[in-house]
Amino acid sequence: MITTVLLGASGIVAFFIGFMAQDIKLTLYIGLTGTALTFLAVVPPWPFYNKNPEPWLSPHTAASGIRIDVDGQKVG
Amino acid sequence: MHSTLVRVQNVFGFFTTVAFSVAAVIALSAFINPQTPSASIQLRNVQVVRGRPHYYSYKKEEYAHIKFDLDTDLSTLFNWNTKQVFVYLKAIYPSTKPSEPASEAIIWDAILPGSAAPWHQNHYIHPTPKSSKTSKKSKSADAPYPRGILHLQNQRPKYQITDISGKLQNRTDVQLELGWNVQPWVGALLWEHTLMDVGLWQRLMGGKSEVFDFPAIGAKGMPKKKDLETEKGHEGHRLEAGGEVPRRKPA
Repeated sequence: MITTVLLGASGIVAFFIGFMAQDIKLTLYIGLTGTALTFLAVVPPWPFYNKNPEPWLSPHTAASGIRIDVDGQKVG
Repeated sequence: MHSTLVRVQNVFGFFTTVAFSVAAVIALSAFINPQTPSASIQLRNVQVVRGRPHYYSYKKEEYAHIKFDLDTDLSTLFNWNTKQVFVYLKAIYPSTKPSEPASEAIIWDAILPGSAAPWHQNHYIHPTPKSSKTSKKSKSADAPYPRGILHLQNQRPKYQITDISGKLQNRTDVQLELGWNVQPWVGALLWEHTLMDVGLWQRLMGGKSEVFDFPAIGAKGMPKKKDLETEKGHEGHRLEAGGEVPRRKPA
C-alpha cells in the first residue's frame, strides 16, 4: 500500500517536474530518489509498524484450557 | 509482507512498472510538441571523376562529387526527449532499369546533439560563416546558429558516391533530398516524413533540390585535386596520422 502510493506519486511528480523544466535528467533523478525513499520506508522493519502487534495464541501446553477444534476433531 | 525479501521484491516489482509507465508517457509527450521542419537545398557544383575504390584496386569506378548549399531549420525537432538528430543529405537518381527502385546515396551527414546530451567528439560543429569572421573571435567557440539551424554555403560533400554498376556519368534526374533520424532518450527512432502532416507534426517543407544531371567526365575540364576534397574532421573522430586533433569544447 505504501509502496503503491509512494512509487506512483514519485513517478507522476518526476514526469511533471521534468516536463515543466523540459529536463529529462531531472525526471530520472526524481524518479530514482522516490524509489530509494520507498525502499527506505518499506523494507527495514521500522518499529512504528509494530505498534499494534497481533496477539498470537499462547504456546500449546497441556495445562492450557484452550481447546481448538478443526472439523470437529480435537487438535489443540 | 512479513519478510524483508518479500518487501524488496514488492517494491522493485512495482518500481519497474512505474519506470516503464513514466517512460511511455515521456515518449508520448513528444507528440504534443509541434514540429515545423523546413529546408532548402541547392546544387552548387557537380563533377564526375574516374577513380579507384582503394589504392590497390584494379577496378576503376566513376565517382560523383557534389557541392551544395543547405539552409534548414530543424530546431522544432528538439524537444525534451530528443537525444540527438542525425541529419543526412541523399542523392537520389533513377536506376538504369525502370523496374528497379531509384538509387539513394548519402553525400553528407551530421549528428546534432540535444540540450541534455553530454559532449561527444562526433557531434557536429557548425562552420563559422565567413561574413561573421570580422566579429569578435571570442564568440567563435559558440555555435553560430541556434540548435538545429544550419546554413551551409558551398559545402563540400563528406562522401563521394558511386553506383553499383560503377558508371555514373551522364545519369539524369538526380535530386538531393534531406533526411533525418530523431533519436530520443526514451521511445522509438523517428525518421522524416514528407508525405503528410501527422497531428501537430508538419511534414518537411522543401527539403529537395532541383533535378540535375551528372555531367560527363571532364565536362568542365580536368578538375583540380583541391576541388574534389571531401569534408572531414568536423567531428574530429578520424584520428588518422597527421589528421586533425579532436576539438574539445572549452569548459
